[in-house]
Amino acid sequence: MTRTSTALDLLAPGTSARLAEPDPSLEPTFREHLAAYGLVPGHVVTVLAQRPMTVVLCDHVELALEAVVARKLRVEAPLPQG
Amino acid sequence: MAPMRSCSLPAVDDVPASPGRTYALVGAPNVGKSVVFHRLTGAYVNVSNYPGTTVEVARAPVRFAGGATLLDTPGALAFPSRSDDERAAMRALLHEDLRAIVQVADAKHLRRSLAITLALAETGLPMVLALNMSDEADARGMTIDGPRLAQALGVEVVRTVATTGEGLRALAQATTRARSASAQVAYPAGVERLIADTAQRLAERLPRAPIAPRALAILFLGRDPEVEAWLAVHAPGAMRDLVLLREDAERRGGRIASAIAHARAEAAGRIAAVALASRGAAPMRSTRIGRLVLHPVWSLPILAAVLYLTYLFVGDFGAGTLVGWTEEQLFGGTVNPAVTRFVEAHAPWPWLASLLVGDYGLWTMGVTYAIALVLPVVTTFFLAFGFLEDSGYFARLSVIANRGFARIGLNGRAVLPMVLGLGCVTMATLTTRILATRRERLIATFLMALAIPCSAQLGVVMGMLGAIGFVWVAGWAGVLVAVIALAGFLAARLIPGRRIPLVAEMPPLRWPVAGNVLKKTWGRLVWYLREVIPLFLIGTFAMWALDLLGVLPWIVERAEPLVTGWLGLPKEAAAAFVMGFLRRDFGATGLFAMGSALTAAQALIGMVTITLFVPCIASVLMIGREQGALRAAAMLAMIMPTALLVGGVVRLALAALGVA
Ligand SMILES: Nc1nc2c(ncn2[C@@H]2O[C@H](COP(=O)(O)OP(=O)(O)OP(=O)(O)O)[C@@H](O)[C@H]2O)c(=O)[nH]1
Repeated sequence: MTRTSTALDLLAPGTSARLAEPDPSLEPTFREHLAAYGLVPGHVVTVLAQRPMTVVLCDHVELALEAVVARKLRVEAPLPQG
Repeated sequence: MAPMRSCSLPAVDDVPASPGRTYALVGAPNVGKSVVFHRLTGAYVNVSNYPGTTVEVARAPVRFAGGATLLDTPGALAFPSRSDDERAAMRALLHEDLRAIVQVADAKHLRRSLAITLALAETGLPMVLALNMSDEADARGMTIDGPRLAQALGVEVVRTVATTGEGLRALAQATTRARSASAQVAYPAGVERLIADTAQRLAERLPRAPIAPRALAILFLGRDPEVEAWLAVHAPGAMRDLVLLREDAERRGGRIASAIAHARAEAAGRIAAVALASRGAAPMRSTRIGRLVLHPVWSLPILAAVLYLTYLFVGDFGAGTLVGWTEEQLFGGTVNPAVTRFVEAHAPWPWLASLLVGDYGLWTMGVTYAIALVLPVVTTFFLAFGFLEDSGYFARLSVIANRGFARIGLNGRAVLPMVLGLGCVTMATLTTRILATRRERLIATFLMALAIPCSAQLGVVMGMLGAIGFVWVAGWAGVLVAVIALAGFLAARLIPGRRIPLVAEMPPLRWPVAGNVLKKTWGRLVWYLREVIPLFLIGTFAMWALDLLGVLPWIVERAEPLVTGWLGLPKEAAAAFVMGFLRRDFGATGLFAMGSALTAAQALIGMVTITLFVPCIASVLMIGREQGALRAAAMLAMIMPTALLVGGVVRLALAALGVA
């Protein structure tokens, strides 16, 4: 992936972004787990909250992700709102 | 939770699985499987709005096909299986002679559901897809093109709303016509070659496998532990070569399971894109309220309000009003005097009268206590718990509590068993199965056994300390929280293993369905009464026998230095601790009965010690069942000295504060 990516936990609530390849240090079993939740590279998620935990809307389901996980999930540049 | 039945069908466990007449419900956690199961069978298993609460495979005869049975499997997020729940679901696929699979899916999360559909499709078993929670998908403006989806998958797709029964008849009909899916995931070429190779070797050795060789191959390559175990039994000769093949491939190309997960997610995404006529709009009201519940500032007053309302209902109404009525008026004023008169008039021997209606009488103590004192409290507690569970609040609470739980080696998921422990620790010990690792289960079980008071005990504590003053209740609670924090902190460091970070789905906040809450409460109550009333009676009998044989006075003598010297309590309190062996709340009642003989400080010390002292017999048995006898014994050996230690420390602290 050539474009720069940022950590999901830095995205402001209300913004949407496309998931990029996660940080290589994210364990494969965890990646598979997240894939089962629908969090795969290329998919768009919307951040609903960052505290007390990162909460994203993925399709129509809200997922709460602890900081250690959210930090390793990376997203491309935020999409324009709306 | 043990399945519970309604009305006239035979007991769930008694129904033998007849070959080829078994259907299985499979699906992700919290998609409504339990409600569908209830609709199709009339039998009831635990339903809740908290992912992963079906902990055992339930089985009951179906209404739509005579002689056939339906299995409700625990929630499975993905295959190859990883969690215990997924393994249980996989076991059902491998070991049951299935006629068809009914996949229950959450229509709101079509993509994720389809990834499971594609995995099930590979098994070659006939199947149908129930798009449940369609009402919630509608509310979000999603429109799913059912026929198109059915065509893409090659199976029937039925729109359902399990809670209202919509589509259930159609689902039953479709199930009897179920056929194998035609959709297949194409994996990367290298993986496909491996799959084909493995599948061929398996097919040669296993002419009659429960699922297609291709599925066996994929699951084996993805390291599904259940499939590995099954193959080790059914194709032992092939295992060595297959393991080598897999290892060699992974060395060159990386984890096969990752490639499988990816390819499936992508294929599911493509099919979902075709089938979604409209993706629906963004957040709606329940999402906004949900966010408020998690809000850094608002979450706290909301939590306080929830706790307060729960306290009003359980503590004030249940333990106060209701118990006042059942204990004083019903039992104290009417039933017990009548029973006592009757027994004393008719009992041929005095010992029989004392066994039935004496100080430690089976009726006057055991039954009265269970029904007059405990039943109203657990009933109100289970009602409140069921309401919160069905509303989706617990999932949010686990997010709020996660940080605190991280310190004690757990994650927010442990909120559910810990809070349930406030109702019944025995039941909560069983529920620790929803935790992801053995380590978390061990820590949570230990902390509950040590310091979570069950509702029966809460009732007694509220009665005794509440009467002295609110600060004493707060002091008692404060000591327990401190003990949990300290013990958890130590356990997290001493018990080897890693903590698993929380990744949790937040089900939408829903207004609970009265029928669900009532059924669930009823199920829990029946379980509780079955489990607990006999123990109450055994406990009372043991007390009566100890008293008769003069053992009780002997123990009271022996324990005096500890009880009087170290804890600063009157020596009769020792009897209460002996009772505490049988049930903690039972012991607490013993202290309660001493009432005015104790100062406020003694009441606090006594209640803290007895709360920590020993978990009730039922929960010790449950710990033994879940964790093994050795661990249960080790826990007891740690808990009892800790209780006495903490009790003494509280006494010293109170003395230092100048409270006598
Ligand atoms: N709105 C709506 N709610 C539903 C529907 N079906 C089930 N529910 C609710 O969804 C929640 C979860 O239902 P369960 O039946 O416990 O789900 P499950 O799949 O058995 O969950 P696990 O036991 O965790 O695997 C409960 O609160 C149900 O009342 C539906 O079609 N529509």
